[in-house]
Amino acid sequence: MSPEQLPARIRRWLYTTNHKEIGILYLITSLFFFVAAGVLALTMRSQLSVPDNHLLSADLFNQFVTVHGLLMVFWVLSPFAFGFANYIIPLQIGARDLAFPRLNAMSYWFYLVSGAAMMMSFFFGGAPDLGWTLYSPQTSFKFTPTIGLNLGAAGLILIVVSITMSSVNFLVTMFKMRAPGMKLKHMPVFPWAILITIFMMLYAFPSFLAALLLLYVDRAFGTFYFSSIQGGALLWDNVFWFFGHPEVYIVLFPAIGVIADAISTFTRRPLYGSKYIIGSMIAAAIISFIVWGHHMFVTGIGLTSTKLYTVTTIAVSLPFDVMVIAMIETLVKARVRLKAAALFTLGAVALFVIGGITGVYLASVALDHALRGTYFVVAHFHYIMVGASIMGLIGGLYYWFPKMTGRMYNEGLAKIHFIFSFIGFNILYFPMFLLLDMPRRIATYAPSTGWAALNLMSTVGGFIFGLAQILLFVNLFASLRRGSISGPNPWEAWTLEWSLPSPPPAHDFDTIPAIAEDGTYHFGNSSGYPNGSGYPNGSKMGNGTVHSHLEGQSPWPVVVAFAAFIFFLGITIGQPSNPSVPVTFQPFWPLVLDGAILGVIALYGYSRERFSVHEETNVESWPFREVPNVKLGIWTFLGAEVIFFGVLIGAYFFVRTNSATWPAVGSLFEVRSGFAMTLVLLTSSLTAIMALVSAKVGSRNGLMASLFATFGLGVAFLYIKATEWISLGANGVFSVANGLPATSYFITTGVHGVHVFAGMLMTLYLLVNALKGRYLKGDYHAIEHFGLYWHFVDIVWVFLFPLFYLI
Amino acid sequence: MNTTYLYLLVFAILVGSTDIEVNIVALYPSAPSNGVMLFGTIALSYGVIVSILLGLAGMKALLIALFYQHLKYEPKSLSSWVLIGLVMASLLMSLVFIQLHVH
Repeated sequence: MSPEQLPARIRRWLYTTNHKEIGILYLITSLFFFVAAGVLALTMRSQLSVPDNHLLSADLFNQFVTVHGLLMVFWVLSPFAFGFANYIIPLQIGARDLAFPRLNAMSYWFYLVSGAAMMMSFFFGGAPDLGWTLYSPQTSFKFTPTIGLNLGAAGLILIVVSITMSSVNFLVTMFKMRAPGMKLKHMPVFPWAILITIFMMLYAFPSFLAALLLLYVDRAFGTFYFSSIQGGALLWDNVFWFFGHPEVYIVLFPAIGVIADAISTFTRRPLYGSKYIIGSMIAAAIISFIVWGHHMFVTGIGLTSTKLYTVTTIAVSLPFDVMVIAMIETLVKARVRLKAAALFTLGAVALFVIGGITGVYLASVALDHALRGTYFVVAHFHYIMVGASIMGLIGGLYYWFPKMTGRMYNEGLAKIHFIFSFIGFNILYFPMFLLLDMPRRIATYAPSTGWAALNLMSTVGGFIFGLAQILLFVNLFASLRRGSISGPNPWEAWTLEWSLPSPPPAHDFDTIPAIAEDGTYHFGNSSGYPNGSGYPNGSKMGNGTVHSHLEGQSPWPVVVAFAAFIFFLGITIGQPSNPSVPVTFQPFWPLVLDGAILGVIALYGYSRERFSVHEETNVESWPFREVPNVKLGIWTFLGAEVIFFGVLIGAYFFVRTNSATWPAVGSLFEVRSGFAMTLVLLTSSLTAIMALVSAKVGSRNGLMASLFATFGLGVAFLYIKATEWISLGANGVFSVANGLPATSYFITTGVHGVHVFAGMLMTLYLLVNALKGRYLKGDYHAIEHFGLYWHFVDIVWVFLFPLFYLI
Repeated sequence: MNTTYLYLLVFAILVGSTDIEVNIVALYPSAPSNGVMLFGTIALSYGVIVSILLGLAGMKALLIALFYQHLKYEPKSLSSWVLIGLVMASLLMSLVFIQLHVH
C-alpha cells in the first residue's frame, strides 16, 4: 500500500455515509466492545473462582461489574444488531440507502465516542461502580465523589443521542423507502423486529436521557432530584426501569428477527405463523412498558401496584410463548441444514426458553423477595441477553458474512465454535441458578458459604465460552482472504438481499426491484451480476451513473461527534476544587470552548454542504405516502422530545407531590414575569407561522421581517428568563442547589431555555440564507421544518408556565 | 377563511386563555390549598383549579399543534401518528402517577 493510498482509505471510512460501510463499522466496533466487556467479565470470574480471593479489590471489582454491564447493554447488544440493520435492511426492503445517510454516519460516530468516554472513565478517578442500574442514592456525590461517573454518564448521554438519531433514520427508511410492492406485511421478520425495536427505543430512551440529565445535574450542580427523600431512590427506580425493562426487549427483538429469518432459510420453509410472531412482538413491546414495577417489588410500592405488575409481567411472557411455538412448529418435520448459522440460532432459541421460564418466577412477589439481587437473577438475564441475543446475533454474523464479504467462512471451525460456546455458556451460567442464596455484585465470599464449587465451575465455563470466541475472530479474519467464493445466495434464501451479488455494489440495486403481489421476488430476473464477483470500489446504476464508495462522503458527521466528545470531556473531567462541596462541575474550559467552537463550525459546514440524497419515486410508503421524509423524521424526533420533557415534568410532579410543603403561588416566582414570557413565546409562534406564509407567497421582506421578529422574541424570552434567574439568585435563598422547588424550576426551565437557544441559532441560520433570497415560493420547506420545532418549544412552555408559576 | 386571519384568531385565543389562567390564579387566597371562590358563589377546590389550568394548557397546545404546526391539514396518517404517540405517552405517564398515588 503506497502512502498515497493511505489517506484515501482512511478518508473512505471516516467520511463514509454508505449504509453498508457504516454497518461494518458498527459490527467491528461492537465486537471490539464485546471483547472489552468479555475481558472484564473473565477477570471478575477469576476473582470469584475461589473464596477469599484478592485478585481485584472490592472497588475495582465493582467498577468491572458496572462497566461490563453497561458496555454489554449499550455498546454491544444493540449496536451489534444495528450493524446488521444498517447493512441488511435497505437490501431487504429494496432501498439504496437509509433516508438520511449523513445522520446515519453521525449516529455511528456518536456511538464510537460515547464508548470512548465510558472506557476513559477508568482513568478519571475510577469508572462507575454501582452496577449498570446506577441506583440512587449511591450515585450521589456523597457516596461516589469521583468524576469517572460523570464521564460515564456523559458517555451514556452521547449514546442515547446516537440511538435517537438512528431510530428516526430507520423509521423513516422503513416507512418511506420500501421497494414497489414491498408492503409492510411483506417485510421479512428481521426488518419488522428492528421496526418494533425502534418504536420501543423512541419511547424508552428519552426517558433514560432525562434520567441521566437529572443524575448529571445532581452531581455537577448539587441539585436534589435523587439525593432527596422526596425524589431519591424511588424516583430513579421509576424513570430508570420505565426505560430499563423495555431495554431488555430492545436488545432481544433484533436477535429474534435474525433467528426467525435464519430458521426459515435453513429449514427451507416459510416461517410458521410469521404474522403471529410479528403480532406477538408488537404485543410484548406494548406490555413491556407497563411491567417496570416488578423491578421494584422490594421498594414498598404498595400491594395494588405489586398485584398489577405481577399480572402484567406474567402477561408479557405470553407473546414470547407464541414466538417460540411458531419457531418450533417451523422446525417440526423440517429437513434442517445444520450449518453453523443455524446451530447458533437454534441454540439461541433453546437458551431463550430457559431464560424466559426463569423470568416468570420473578413475576411472583413472594419468589422475587427471595431471589431479588441473587445470582439466580444474574443467570436469568444472561440466558436472555447472552444466550438468546448474543448467540442469535453471532448466528446472524455467520448467516450474513458471505453476503457482506463474498466469501464463505470455515464451516467446521464455526461448528466447533458453536459447540464450545454452547457448552461453555451453560457451564458458565447454569450453576448460577443454583447459587440462589449468593448476592450478586459481591467481590468475594467466605469458604463457609459453600459457594466455591459452583463458582469455580462457572469460571471454568466462562473461560471456555470466552476463549471459544477466539475461533470466531480467527475464522472470519482468515475467511476474508482465504474463504471460498460464496456467490450471491449460498443459503438459497428468499429475502431480497440474496438477489444481489456478494458483496453488493455501492448503490445496492441497479434498478429498484418490484415485489410481486404475494410478496415474493423472483431471483434471476434481477441484475445479472457475475456470480459473487461483487463491486467493492464502484459500480454503475441502471441509468449509467457511476457510483462509488468515495461518492456521498461527508467529513462533518465525524467532526460533529468529535466536537461533542471534546465538549463533554471538557465539562466532566475538571477536578472539584473543594471535595467537601457537593458540586463536581469544574469544567476544563479550554476543552469546553474548543468543543463548542468546533461543534458550531461543524454544524455550519454540515448544513452548508451540498449533499444530495437520491430519492426513488414510486416506492412503497404506506401509510405516509404524502408525508415528506424530513417532515416525518422531524415529527418522530418531536415524539421523542415529548417523552423527554414528559419525564422532566413527571419528575417535577413526583418530588412536588412527595413534598409536605411547597412555596405558595407568587411567593417565589412573579406571575407577571411568567405571563410576559408566555406572551413573548406565543407571539414568536405567530411570527414563525407568518414567516412560512411569507415564504410561500414569495415575500422576501415579509420572510425577513418575520424571522427577525422570531429571533428578537427569542432573545426577549431568554433575557426575561435570565433576569428572573439572576433576581432569584441574588436574594440568596433560591439557587440551583437550594431545595427541590429550586432544583426542579432551574433544571426544567433551563432545559427549555437551551431548546429556545437552539431554535434561535436555527433562526439566525435561516435569516442569513433568507438574506440571499432563499426559501421563497416552492423552497419554503426549511422554514416549515424550523416552525415545527419552534412551535413544539412553545407548547412545552405552555405547560411549564402554569406548572411553575400558577399552581 | 384567509390563513393570516386564522393564525391571528388562534393567536388571540392563545393570549386570551393565558389571560384567563392568570386571572384564575389572581383570585387565589393566600394558601392555594384553600381553593378559590369564583364570582363569590362557586367554590372550586385546588384540584379543580389545577385541572382547569392544565386543561387550558392542553387546549393551547392543541391549537398550536393543529393550526401552527398544521396537523389539521396534514394527511390523516401523520396526524394519527402524532395522536397515537401522544395518547400512549399520556397513558404511560398516567401510570406513573397512579403508581405514585397508590404508593
